[in-house]
Amino acid sequence: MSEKQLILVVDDDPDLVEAVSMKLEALEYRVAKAYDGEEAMEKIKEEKPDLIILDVMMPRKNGWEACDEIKNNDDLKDIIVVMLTAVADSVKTTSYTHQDGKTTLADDYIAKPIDLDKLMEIVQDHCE
Amino acid sequence: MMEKVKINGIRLNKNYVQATHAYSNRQNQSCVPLYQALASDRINLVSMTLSTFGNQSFVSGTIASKHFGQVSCQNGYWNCHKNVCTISIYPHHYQLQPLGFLLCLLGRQKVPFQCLISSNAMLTFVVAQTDCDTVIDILSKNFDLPESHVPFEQKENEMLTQFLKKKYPETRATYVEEKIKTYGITLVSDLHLSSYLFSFDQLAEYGQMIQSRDDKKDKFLFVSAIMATSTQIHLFLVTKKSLDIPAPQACAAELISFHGPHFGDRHSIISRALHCLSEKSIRVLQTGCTGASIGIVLPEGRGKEAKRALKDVFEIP
Repeated sequence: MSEKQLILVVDDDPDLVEAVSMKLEALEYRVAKAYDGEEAMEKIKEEKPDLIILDVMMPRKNGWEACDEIKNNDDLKDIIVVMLTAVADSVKTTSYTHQDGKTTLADDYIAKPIDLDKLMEIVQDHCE
Repeated sequence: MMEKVKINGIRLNKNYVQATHAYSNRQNQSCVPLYQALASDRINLVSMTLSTFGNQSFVSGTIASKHFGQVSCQNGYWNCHKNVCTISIYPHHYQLQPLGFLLCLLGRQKVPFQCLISSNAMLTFVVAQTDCDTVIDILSKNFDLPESHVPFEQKENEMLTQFLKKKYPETRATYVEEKIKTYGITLVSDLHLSSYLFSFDQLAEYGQMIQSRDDKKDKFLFVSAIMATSTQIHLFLVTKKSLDIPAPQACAAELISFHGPHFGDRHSIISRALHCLSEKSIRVLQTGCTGASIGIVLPEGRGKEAKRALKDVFEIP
């Protein structure tokens, strides 16, 4: 694992952000936090993270919109995006298509409720 | 002038009713605790504290104003404050500094609050809606907030909600679970529960004492506070080791905490947690739930049994 990589955790639930951040810090990642999609985009401008853990339902800008914005920007599209979703049953691949035909460009996902250890494995796999 | 304490955000939610209910555990079954009454009406408690003193229990719960009228079994034992709001600061990192700083600010500015509860990341307290703008102003001037912090009040956008409900399957999900999903249940043992009863005029002094203990790298694991009377505050603090602040009442304790998806949006969760502990005759000293977090303080030695009991109702990934 590369040490001191920067992970941006984005969720409108501060309790979940804190729980995930503590796990990441224990694995010696640097952690940035944002509480909606718009704040996430501002944090990305301040310092480009190596990976983003991105919730879907958030105020101001939701996770789908933030993900689209990241993946359609040439400077940002190499950032790994892991979506937190409650629709994992309908997900077949990591670049997945939803029932309504919307395709996200996220690199990976994890189903809610999150198994924090599994999420750490996903992060470590992508950050290797 | 107090030095500013760094936090990431302040959250404000309006239009609630704060209901308090004091009852004796020896009373007959007809005295239904507030959380049970709301569970039977399928009404969500946004936040709640429960404190037990001998055979007396005191519950203080926050309910959305729009749901309060639907409560079928309101009774004369409830004391209700209408038009209140919840304000949260986050994250606290379990440090005594932001907690003490907040109490000190509220004391110095003479802002009365109904109750205060900690969760994993937030310190949430309930104030009268008429004081809300003043409190937000005090907090935003005195805490060090990042420029990019989210707006204090996250208003529901009904049009967006309806659009997302139609567009994305996530929002159409119906949560029917045999067991309530959690992110895991944590048990911490060898703790101290200290209980402080003091006049509101002493709040700033206690806040300062708590803040000063941060120098010793002491941390809290759980905190709750209630207005015991119109002028007195009862503060409950769970720490790893006893703080150097004389507490009239202190005992060894264990803490169970858990957190789950959509806990904040759903009714009956705290009621189910407390019911399963009651069935095993496990006495609860303190409970605090807010947002998606629940903390339960138990007498020493009952934690493992309580965790087993909770596993019957709650799913651990």
